[in-house]
Amino acid sequence: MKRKMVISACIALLTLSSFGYYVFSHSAYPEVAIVGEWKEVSWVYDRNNVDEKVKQEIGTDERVDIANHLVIHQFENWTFRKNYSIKLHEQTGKEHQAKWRLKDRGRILTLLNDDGTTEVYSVESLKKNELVLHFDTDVHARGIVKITLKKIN
Amino acid sequence: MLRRFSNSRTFQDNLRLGVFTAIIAGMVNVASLVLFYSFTSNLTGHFAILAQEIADGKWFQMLVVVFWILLFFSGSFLSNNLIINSTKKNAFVSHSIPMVLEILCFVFVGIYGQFFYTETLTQTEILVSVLLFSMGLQNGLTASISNFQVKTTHLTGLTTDLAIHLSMLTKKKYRMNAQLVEKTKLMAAIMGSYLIGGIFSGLIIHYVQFQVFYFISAAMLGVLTYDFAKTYIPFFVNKKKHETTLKLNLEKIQDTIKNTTKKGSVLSESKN
Repeated sequence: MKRKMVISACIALLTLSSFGYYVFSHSAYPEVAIVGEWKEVSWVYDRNNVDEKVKQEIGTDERVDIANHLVIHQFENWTFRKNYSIKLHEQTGKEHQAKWRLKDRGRILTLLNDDGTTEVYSVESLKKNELVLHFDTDVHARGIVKITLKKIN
Repeated sequence: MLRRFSNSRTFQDNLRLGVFTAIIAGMVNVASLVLFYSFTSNLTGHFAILAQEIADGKWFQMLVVVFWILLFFSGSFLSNNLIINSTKKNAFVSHSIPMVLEILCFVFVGIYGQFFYTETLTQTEILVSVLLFSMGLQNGLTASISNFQVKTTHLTGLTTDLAIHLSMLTKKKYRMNAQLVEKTKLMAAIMGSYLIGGIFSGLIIHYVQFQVFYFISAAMLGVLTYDFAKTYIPFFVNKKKHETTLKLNLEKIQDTIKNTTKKGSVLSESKN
């Protein structure tokens, strides 16, 4: 009886470990998928006003108002590198360097600036060619602003 | 706290167990939320996320959630298995093993987090897995030894139960029911302790980061030691007392025998 129990426990442990190994050997996918150069294609409010049928694009001035505490409103191109550094840049040559990290199964993107501040974005969707972020959000509530980026490189 | 099992436990036993483990659960949950942006002491959210991932067809992310749920499940399974296979003689040891494993999990997360964690996604997911396993161990342990009276890691059920109990206590006939009143007090204490643990963790986590897990481990070790002392010191003291009494009695008997023999020989000599 005891022997049977030990064998069952070993089998269960082995199965769980193998499953864990399989899961974690593939879990880095979002970190791989995000690497590359992305270009912002839209900034919209996630929730419309009652009278609006189509989501309204947020203009440049408004971006400054709602995201002046974040660095992202100043840049349109995001380059995620394998070494967890990110370059936010404009065609004019203006750029900002920071560190990026993904948390909670890739659902949270954090940008760590050189001055020690951290910006947190919710990754709404990460596809091969499209990245959708929500910002100004806490962990659970949906963000109010939706930024869509397309992969260009 | 850990010695007695099921119905032989008193309200005070369950209260102490509930308060202590709820503080731990609250601390761990807030720590994991701040450090990993992920909850580790409750599974309801993970089930919702699992359903969402399945609906979205994100298979690998779904597997991670499945693995997390499985680990919590395994922790509870292991705890209860150890308890139901224990005998009266080794009850304390069997009840302590889940707590020792939990401490080892926290120490691992603390050391790894402090010295090796580079914040990659895989590392984050593995550390969350370890914490979920430890919370499963704790929930299984508390629920098993308290005959399902104490469950400290999920507050949805607790809030519902507390609300039901409180509504029952609005009637006088239920207020006379001591068991019902005790259960209500227990649930309120667990809820308060969970919150206190969470607040405390939230206050110190930005200063101590992963070292919060050493603090939790030390507190748990303290409780284990206290329980060990309460279980075994009286046993050893009594054993020593018993031995001393036996020795004294034996000496007395030997003296009596000696005296009797002496008296006997004196009498026989005087007769002669």
